[in-house]
Amino acid sequence: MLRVTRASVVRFCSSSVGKKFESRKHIEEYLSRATWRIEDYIPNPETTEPVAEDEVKKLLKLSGLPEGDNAETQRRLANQLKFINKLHDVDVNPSSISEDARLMSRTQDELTFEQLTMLVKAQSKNDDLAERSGFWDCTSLATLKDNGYFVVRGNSMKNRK
Amino acid sequence: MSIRGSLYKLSKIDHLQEKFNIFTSINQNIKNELQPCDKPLANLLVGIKDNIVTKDLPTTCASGILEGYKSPFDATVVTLLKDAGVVVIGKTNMDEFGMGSGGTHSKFGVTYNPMFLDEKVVVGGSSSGSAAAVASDVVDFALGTDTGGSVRIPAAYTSTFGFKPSYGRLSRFGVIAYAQSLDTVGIITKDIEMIKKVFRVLDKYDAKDPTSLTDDLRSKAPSLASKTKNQLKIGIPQEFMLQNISKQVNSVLMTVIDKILEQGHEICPVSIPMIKYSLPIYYTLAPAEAASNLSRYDGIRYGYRDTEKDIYEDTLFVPTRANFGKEVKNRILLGNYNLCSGAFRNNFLKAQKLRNQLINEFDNVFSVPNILTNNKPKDDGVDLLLSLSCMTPPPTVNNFMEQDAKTPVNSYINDSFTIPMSLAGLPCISIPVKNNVGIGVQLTGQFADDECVLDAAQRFT
Repeated sequence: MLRVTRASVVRFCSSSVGKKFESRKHIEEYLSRATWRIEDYIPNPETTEPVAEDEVKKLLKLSGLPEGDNAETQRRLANQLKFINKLHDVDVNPSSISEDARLMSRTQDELTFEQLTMLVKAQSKNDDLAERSGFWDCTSLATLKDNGYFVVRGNSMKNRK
Repeated sequence: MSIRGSLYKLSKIDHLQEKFNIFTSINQNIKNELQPCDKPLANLLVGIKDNIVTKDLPTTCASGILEGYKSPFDATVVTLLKDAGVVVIGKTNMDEFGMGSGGTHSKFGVTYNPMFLDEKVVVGGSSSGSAAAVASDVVDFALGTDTGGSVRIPAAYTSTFGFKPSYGRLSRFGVIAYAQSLDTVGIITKDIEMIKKVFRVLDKYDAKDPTSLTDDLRSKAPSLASKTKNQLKIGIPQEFMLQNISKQVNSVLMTVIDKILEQGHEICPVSIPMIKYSLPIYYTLAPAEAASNLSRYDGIRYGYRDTEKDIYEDTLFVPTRANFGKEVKNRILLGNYNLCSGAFRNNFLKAQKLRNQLINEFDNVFSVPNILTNNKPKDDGVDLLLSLSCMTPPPTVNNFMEQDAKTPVNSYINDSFTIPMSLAGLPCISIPVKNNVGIGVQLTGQFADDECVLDAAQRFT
């Protein structure tokens, strides 16, 4: 079903439905014919080049996570990246231009200005979503608070990167 | 369920908790909540996965970062169940924030598989406690969440039914997000009729969930448009024929196939090429959504907070966020890598396009249209897809953890049969197969054709 068009890159080919199986034996044969190996997707941790330490430090800071065994993190991240880089083994179907893969209706009716205005007027505030002012004390679950404000401890940050 | 029956189940809870580590918290007021009433699910006992918020019990996502957190409101699915007469027995253990397929990544420790009494066997994840609660008969049913297989895999490993409805059919309001474009509430139980009853109660539009399927779209669901067919056409995707599936596991699939043939249904091969790329698509998109969702845990407004500091070496919230578990940290890093500019263009956007392509490919094999894409259905298309739920029976806990420690990727491949359907939001169910403990078979329908999936599950078991 898949046609190799250039070294190690696979050209998109659409899905298809075959003819019905004529017998149980045909189904058994079909099930025994492996089409690929999932192991081919698993990078060898021993031979995967680790991600650079600076890159890992930058990501940890961006993620608000502490440094720890950086060498181990470099190795694990490299394995994960090699795994997802399999994405680049397949071409995108030119007809599949949309980048938006949200699971919602692809065709939406356009809203007119009048419709929008009416919707805004009809909007109500939902207590369950704490949309009404004063309905919920938003600091009630905070460990530290001061007169209705959240508290962050520490001096102003210097050298913020 | 009679109150007497429920009390009997409750009498076993302490022993089962000690043995299998099923719950993260247990309702101490259950006996008072069991009351005679005339409601559709009166006095049924449910376990709720610990990432679905409840105002009477803590919600921790099995994470140190939410230690002691109690939500001020119930999730919509919990409210609907309570209104129908269900009693919540407790919150169930899970892989932290839903990240795992073994039930081993929990602050509360590993949940063990009640189907294997002689050795410590993985129960599957991430809805590990929910499946264990059902398998050990301490509840009538349990709610889990399924982002890439987290209901279906533990259901397969415990020989129970695990139903993941179409994305958007059950409300996500009050479900703590892991990857919001994939997260789906699911139902685990031993009785397919029970799944149908619970689904009928929960299957409602919720204005509080912006991704809830609208009533207008629900009215176009394929099951409503066509009568239940007597003869179904069922496709087996060739991309699920993997080299490392044992003859023993394939023979389980053949058991279900025999039943399907006996009932006079048609079976045919199908090809959905993009299935092969589902794992890299998923592990590009899901961690990126997770990194964004989990950035809210700073300890300032709720949840765990470091006792001394909020800043470490000029970075905000590091002392508190150090409390995330190892796998969660792994996925946050991967997610943030994919959201950085270069990788975003190369990886994230490509994964989005390929996800769309996968949805189109699924559309192209079904006999009924996808109500979201409005595609032209295939004349000779199939009603359902059939596959295994997982590649092997559940491994021992030691074996699973050993493989996972080498590289997290080793455990990612457990989701090979479940992730493609999650990416397309399709309804699926893992069904148990008689005399085959720990292996499930998966049925999948077109988007919103949930009833067809449930009816077929009933016919084939």
